[in-house]
Amino acid sequence: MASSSLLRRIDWSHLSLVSFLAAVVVWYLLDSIDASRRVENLLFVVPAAVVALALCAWLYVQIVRAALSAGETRATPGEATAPLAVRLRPVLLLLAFAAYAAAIGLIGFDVSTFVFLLVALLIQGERGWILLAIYPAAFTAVVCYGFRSLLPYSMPMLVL
Amino acid sequence: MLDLPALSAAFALLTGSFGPWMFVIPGLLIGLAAGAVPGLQISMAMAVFLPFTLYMDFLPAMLFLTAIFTGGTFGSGIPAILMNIPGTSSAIATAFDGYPMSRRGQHNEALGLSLGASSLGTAVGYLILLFLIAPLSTAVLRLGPSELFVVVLWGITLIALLSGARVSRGLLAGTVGLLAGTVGMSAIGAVRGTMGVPDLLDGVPVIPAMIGLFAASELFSIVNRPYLVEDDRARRVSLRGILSGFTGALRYPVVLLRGSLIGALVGAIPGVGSSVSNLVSYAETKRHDPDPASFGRGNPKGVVASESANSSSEGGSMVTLLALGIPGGGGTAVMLAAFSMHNITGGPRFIREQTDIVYSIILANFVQALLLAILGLLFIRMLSAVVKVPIRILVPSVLVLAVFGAYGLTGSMLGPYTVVGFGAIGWWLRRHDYSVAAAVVGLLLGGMAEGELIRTYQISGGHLDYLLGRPVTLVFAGLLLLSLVAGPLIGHLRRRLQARVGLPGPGPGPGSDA
Repeated sequence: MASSSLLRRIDWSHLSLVSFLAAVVVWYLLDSIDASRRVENLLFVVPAAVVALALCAWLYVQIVRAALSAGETRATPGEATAPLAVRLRPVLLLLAFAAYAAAIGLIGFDVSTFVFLLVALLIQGERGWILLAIYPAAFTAVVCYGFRSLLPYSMPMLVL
Repeated sequence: MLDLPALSAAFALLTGSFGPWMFVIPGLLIGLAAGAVPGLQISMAMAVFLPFTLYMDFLPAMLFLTAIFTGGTFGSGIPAILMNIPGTSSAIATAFDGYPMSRRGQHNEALGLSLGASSLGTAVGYLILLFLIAPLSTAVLRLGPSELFVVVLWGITLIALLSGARVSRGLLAGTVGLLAGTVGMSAIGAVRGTMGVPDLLDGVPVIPAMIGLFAASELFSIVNRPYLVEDDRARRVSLRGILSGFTGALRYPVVLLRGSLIGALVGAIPGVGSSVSNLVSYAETKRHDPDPASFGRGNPKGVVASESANSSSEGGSMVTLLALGIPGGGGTAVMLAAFSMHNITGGPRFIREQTDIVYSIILANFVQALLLAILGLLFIRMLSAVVKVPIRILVPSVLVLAVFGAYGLTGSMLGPYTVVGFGAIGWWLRRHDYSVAAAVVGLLLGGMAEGELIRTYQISGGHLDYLLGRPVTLVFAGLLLLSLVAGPLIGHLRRRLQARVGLPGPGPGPGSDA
């Protein structure tokens, strides 16, 4: 019972971040050792990785200590009262942004930018149809034409 | 102290053609607008517009970026005065007395005071830089690889300790940044951390990564604040009142000078910069004033103290950038990236060999201070309206610009992918109060730190007693250890300082933009 209560109080998002950073550091350390075991190759990477992993371990301790000393409820008042759709907004926008970058190679800068702007406005709660109809198209046209005239190499486009 | 032939060459460079000046006014306006929108950082605006400098010569590129920096520092004071919302953390103390002045109907005077103090503060900061840069570079030239390695570590430690709220989190961000800065082909030709992607052989594309960490992550963080600045109590802005406030700043020469000196000194410390200098200057002015109780209730000296200090910090932060090639915070980190884009390595050799360019940057900033005064007066009304731009339009638009800019820098999809990846990591780091600035500076200096350490190893033959013959290295190492011990103490003192000057002021700004 007590352990399930402790699990509820742990800041899982922070714990995931520290685990992610620790995993990246371990992977990079192993990859560096795999690449070459010469002193010049590892002189900086090994001590820096050890420091980073020690800090990760210290942060694990802090996260658990914070959970042990916290009360029954951990969520901040702002987070608790905000609707789920609002709380998910940054994550949804981040996913849309990642999809946008991935789509550029497939459907070009023009169409993907237009779709991303439209979706991003909708995610952020914009419902005015005039703005939704005009702004993404206008901004896409300005940015695509502007950058195409500036950049020395070709940009993938589908329509423009 | 002054290299007169280089100074006259700098005059010739700046007056010979219109080229260097072309981007100063746009830069100031971009900075003013970015600073005036709460939640947008000055370093973020600089990062977004960094790709444009690829097509400029080095001097116009630097003037463009310093203009954004200068404009942004003043711009952040506008919402602080009008709405009690500091545009960035460098304007926290501006709100303490600026907003009460607004509530009393003296908002025009407060804006004028802020503009006057900012213009003079910028000029004083660069005046100090003008006289200090040559002797500093001579001293720095005597530093060897072991000293430079420890200085890099010390700088990152200070940024990690002082720009974020939690010491261990700042240090972890800085260390991971340093490791990320060594990805690619090592000094002995070993390929590390590229995941088989050939484009990563030269390392992580630093500027797209910086755009992701500074700009994209910040935008994801403010998504849920669409109506933060939608203040319907629009205030009438009058040029006459602003002019009266502008000249009124000169009525407090001691406050102005003290604020400017504090700003330049504090600005030169990596990781501290304008986000702390405005608070220190405010606290000192309040301490020396015969009527300290009037502070926080609309005392004009509070506005002058804060704005002169945060503006002169820019000159101070340029000291470490130019003399050591080490950025003191977000804004100067972007400038260092511009250095590398133009194949220029900052540091003492650059100062000695390109003194005319360094002096040109400094001299042009005196003119920028004057231009800031003029543009501020002309555009302040429009800038007050900028704060009403809906965040829901701003966020996707800037994200799109970031993607196009990153593609422009790399010429491949690696740029946009890097923006997305580092934007996500930066957002995650910000959510848990990690120092994004430390991560960025680590990323920028990782390669340099490793290079200096390898050189030290090669010179010393791996014998640690070599360091005993390098007293400067030992001093810097001592300072590094002292910082690690004193860092939490300084953080505590800063919180106390904030509480002492705080009164019922605004919450902390959107993060350090030192």
